[in-house]
Amino acid sequence: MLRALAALLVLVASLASTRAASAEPVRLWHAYRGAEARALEEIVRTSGIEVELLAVPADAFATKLAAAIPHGEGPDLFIDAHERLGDYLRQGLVAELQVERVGYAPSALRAVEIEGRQLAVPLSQKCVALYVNRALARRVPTDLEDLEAVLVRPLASGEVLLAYESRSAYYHAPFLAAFGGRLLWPDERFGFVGQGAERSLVLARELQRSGKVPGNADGALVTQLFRSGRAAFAVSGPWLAGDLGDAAVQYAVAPLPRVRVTGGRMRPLLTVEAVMASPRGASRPEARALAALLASREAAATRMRIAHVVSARTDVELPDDPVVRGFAEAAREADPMPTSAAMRAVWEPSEKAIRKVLNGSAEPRAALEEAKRRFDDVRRPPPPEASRRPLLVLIGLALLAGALTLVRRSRDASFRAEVVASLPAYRYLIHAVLALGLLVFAPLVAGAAISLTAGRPGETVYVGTANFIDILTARGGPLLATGSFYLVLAVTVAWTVLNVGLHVTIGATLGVLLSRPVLRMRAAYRVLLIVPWAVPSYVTALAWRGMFHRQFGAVTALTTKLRALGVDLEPIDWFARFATAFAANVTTNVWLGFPFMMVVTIAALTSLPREVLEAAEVDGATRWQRFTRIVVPIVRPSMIPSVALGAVWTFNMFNVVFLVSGGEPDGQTDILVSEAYRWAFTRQAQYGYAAAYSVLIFALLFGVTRLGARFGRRAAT
Amino acid sequence: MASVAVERLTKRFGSNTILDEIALAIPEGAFAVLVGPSGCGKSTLLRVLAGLERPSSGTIRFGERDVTRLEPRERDIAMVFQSYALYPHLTVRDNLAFGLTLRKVPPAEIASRVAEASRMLGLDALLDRMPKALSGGQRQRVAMGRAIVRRPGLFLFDEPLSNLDAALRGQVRVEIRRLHEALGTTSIYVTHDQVEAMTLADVMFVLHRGKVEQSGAPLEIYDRPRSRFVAGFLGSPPMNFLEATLVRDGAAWIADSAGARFTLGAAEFDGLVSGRRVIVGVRPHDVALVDEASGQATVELRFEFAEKLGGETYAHASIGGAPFVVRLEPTVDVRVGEARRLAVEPSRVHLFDAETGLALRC
Ligand SMILES: Nc1ncnc2c1ncn2[C@@H]1O[C@H](COP(=O)(O)OP(=O)(O)OP(=O)(O)O)[C@@H](O)[C@H]1O
Ligand SMILES: [Mg+2]
Repeated sequence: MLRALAALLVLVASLASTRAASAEPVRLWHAYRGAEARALEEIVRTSGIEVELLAVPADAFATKLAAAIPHGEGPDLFIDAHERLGDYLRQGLVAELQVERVGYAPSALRAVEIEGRQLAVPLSQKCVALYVNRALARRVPTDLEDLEAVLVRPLASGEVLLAYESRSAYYHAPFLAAFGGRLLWPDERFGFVGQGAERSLVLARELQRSGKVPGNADGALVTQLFRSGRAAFAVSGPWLAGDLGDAAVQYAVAPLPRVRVTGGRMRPLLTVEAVMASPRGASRPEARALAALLASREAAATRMRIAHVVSARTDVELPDDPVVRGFAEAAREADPMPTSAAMRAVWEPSEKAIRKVLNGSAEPRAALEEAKRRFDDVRRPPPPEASRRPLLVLIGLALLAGALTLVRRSRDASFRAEVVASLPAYRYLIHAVLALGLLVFAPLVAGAAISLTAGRPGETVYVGTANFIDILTARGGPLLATGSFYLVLAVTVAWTVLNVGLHVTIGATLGVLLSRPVLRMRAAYRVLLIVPWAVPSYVTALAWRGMFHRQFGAVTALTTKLRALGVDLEPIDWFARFATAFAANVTTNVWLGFPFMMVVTIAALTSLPREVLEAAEVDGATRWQRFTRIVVPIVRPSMIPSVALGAVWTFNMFNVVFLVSGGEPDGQTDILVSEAYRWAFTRQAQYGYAAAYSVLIFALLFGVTRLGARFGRRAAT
Repeated sequence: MASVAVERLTKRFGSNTILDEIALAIPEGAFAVLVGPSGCGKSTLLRVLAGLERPSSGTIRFGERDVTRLEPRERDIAMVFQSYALYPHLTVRDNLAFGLTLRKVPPAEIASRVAEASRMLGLDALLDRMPKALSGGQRQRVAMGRAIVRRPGLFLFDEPLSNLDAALRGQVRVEIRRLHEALGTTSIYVTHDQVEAMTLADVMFVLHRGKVEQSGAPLEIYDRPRSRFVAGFLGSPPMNFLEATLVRDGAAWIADSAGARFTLGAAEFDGLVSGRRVIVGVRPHDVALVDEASGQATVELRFEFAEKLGGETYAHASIGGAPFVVRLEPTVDVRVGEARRLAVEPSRVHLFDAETGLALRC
């Protein structure tokens, strides 16, 4: 064992030394796939520089960088969207790249500039543009109001005028820009408020109400509508063109139109893919050379040729591809996405406001003012650093108390004898204790520690109980306002009670039915009914989400069928109202959860002797009396732990809430865990605050289960 | 209280006929015992009587009522299960009261009936215990009590003593009989233990392969078994059987088994034909060792070993190679390998047909 370890160490050391000895290649990370990855490989291959290329999944890109670069690992150069520069700069992951910059689009250069410093070298630009279906539109419209005027013929039912993801703030941004607005002003003020913003929302609402724009469209729906020729126009990015490759639809791409009432152009948000350097990479001449080469005219031409992307350079000849030309033109009119970290706090409140207005549950002014309040609330400066003294005193006291009890007990000779006698047992326990400690207790303690801090990663300060006070006082707002801890708690409790109630009722009923010895094909039914449990829950959740889609879901198809049969049913926008969204969540979770209770019931019933039931039958019990007076009381004790377990799982059932309703409408169906998730990952990475939520959840569950156990024991005696 | 009349009762599980045209007639107030080897269908018959299984055909009548199609709770019966089947979640008191509560008997009445039953069975001190805190014998008594408080027209017992040790079994057996004397309720009792059957029964039914092989008063069946199966099943140690041929010797009939000659009481048998192949049956208790001098000594046997029980001795011997057990006084000295002569009272010899196994009694 020891020898093997030693050999391993030697091996690692030798590997490390050989690595250090050889001339290191330039390490380049990217998140490209498909044609863009091929273009990059081509450019690198012909560069003559030794490069180690690594494709990292896009959603893990930032975390991987943050984990690697500070330890001297990670790339010299990496290619990413410019809007992350702000974060990278703050975390010290990126350094200024000294490369000549001539021949670039001014908007692209603006995008990679922070506080006057050119931090990255732009490669390509992406933004949304107007797709025009040539079969339905005579020409490219210049004004939004002209869309109908340029139609070849009136639209048939099932066809829409303009398909775009109306509920997304990213796609609404061009409307806002046409009214002179911005989502975020350069001084980090929330921009999606005020008269212009309100008018942009009124316009979007009008488009949807008149049926010109499909409601609740997501990317898949937009693609589907435009691909099948059922949309005259679409607003989308280059990714839509990628999905149209083999489709019959004939189309053109043009810059977004103007809005006539203001004369303003719909300016989309511009994302600039840029090459960035880690501090180490910025100091390596060969890395700088590679960066320059990646951004060169030749590389830009290669990229356009292979991947059809719009270059950030203006001195490259555009290819003869009308799509690339269309996007290039659109990019000239686009606004770079802000690099400020504040941008990440913009999306959630903005989209909640857009959704509320579009589904008619709020007026633009109220919705936007609420959005601004939410933004400001999230952006509120972290609580002041608190003194650590109370915590230290507390820990000290706890340690002291522990030590005192230990001393007192060790005075007791029998205790000492017991400890000595049980020493051999620890040999068998130690690895389990270590594993549990490492995997369960350490994260728990770390989470609890984080809950006492605030601030973004890298700038955290100790704030004592400020997070908890904030949460428990509903951040100073009304205690039952949307998103306040207490309201979310109430929703969570209702969610848990309803779900567990249905799980137990349905599961136990099926379990009892399936335990009847007279039932034929029992085994087959059992297997079928366990299937919902066997499928990964996120797959199920996504499937249910699809079924509840207002226009295209299976549930809607069912209501349409029923309507054809004369039943009066309107297709429901499931996620527009709390009751229906909550019902959709509950339905999904019941589907996921009842098999467990069924299995538990079947198991519990096998411990019920048949003769006891027969004795009751002879004693005069009817079928129902046998169930209520014999089966239920005997089976109950063995089911209670499972019910408690199910309750805890449901209480924390993140998947379903996040994937089915996603908290809609307006975060009302969020439960405590999904709310904690939002604080951590969509609201400025407030990990401390999110951790405080987790600690509260833990405390709640711990308290309730302990109480439950105590009551259970009392009831049993 | 009711008499029980069962006619042509048949029960099949799939293609297996478990009960085959059973007929029972049990007078009111009698203690009937169904006895038979394991797997012969005793429990099934009892469960059919209780209504827990539906018969495939046939009728069951309790008194004047045809109960064949009734639910168990409509039959006015109480049953004691082999496993006792106490309700594990109820105290002894609630176990006893369960059936009465379901029948909405007034609480005061329930209390007095429970008190009475627990006094009878000595359960007073146990009333507030849970079943899992009882010994096997105590559980058995609770199961009996649960049946008694109901005051049903018919008691059904399915091997209620089989989970008890031998000493307790004897004691409870007596208690059951005493209870029956006190209550006088018609009872049907299933057992595979012939001692229980003999001691308890007013009327006994011997079951074999789903059929009633013989019924009647226990001693009568013991003395006049209708078949070799019944003869062998009742009595401990079991009856000795020897293959033999009938021979006429002057006025007397003799069964000759390889030289061992058993004189028969000719008047008791039918079908005595010279040269007929038969089975001779002799109970170990019905023989005596005699001196060679006396003229009765017609059978010679050779001892192989002896079981000395103190009060009596069972000597295992062989007659012409076939095993043969005799009961001896404890004072008799048995030496292994020794040959002795045996006298058998002609009226104690049983004869069975070699093929059918039926008794040759008239
Ligand atoms: N539900 C059933 N399905 C099929 N066969 C059964 C069923 N119940 C009993 N049997 C069969 O019927 C036969 C008689 O069973 P039963 O339990 O009545 O025997 P028993 O006389 O009570 O035996 P024991 O003395 O061992 O309790 C057995 O061969 C048994 O396998
Ligand atoms: Mg049985």
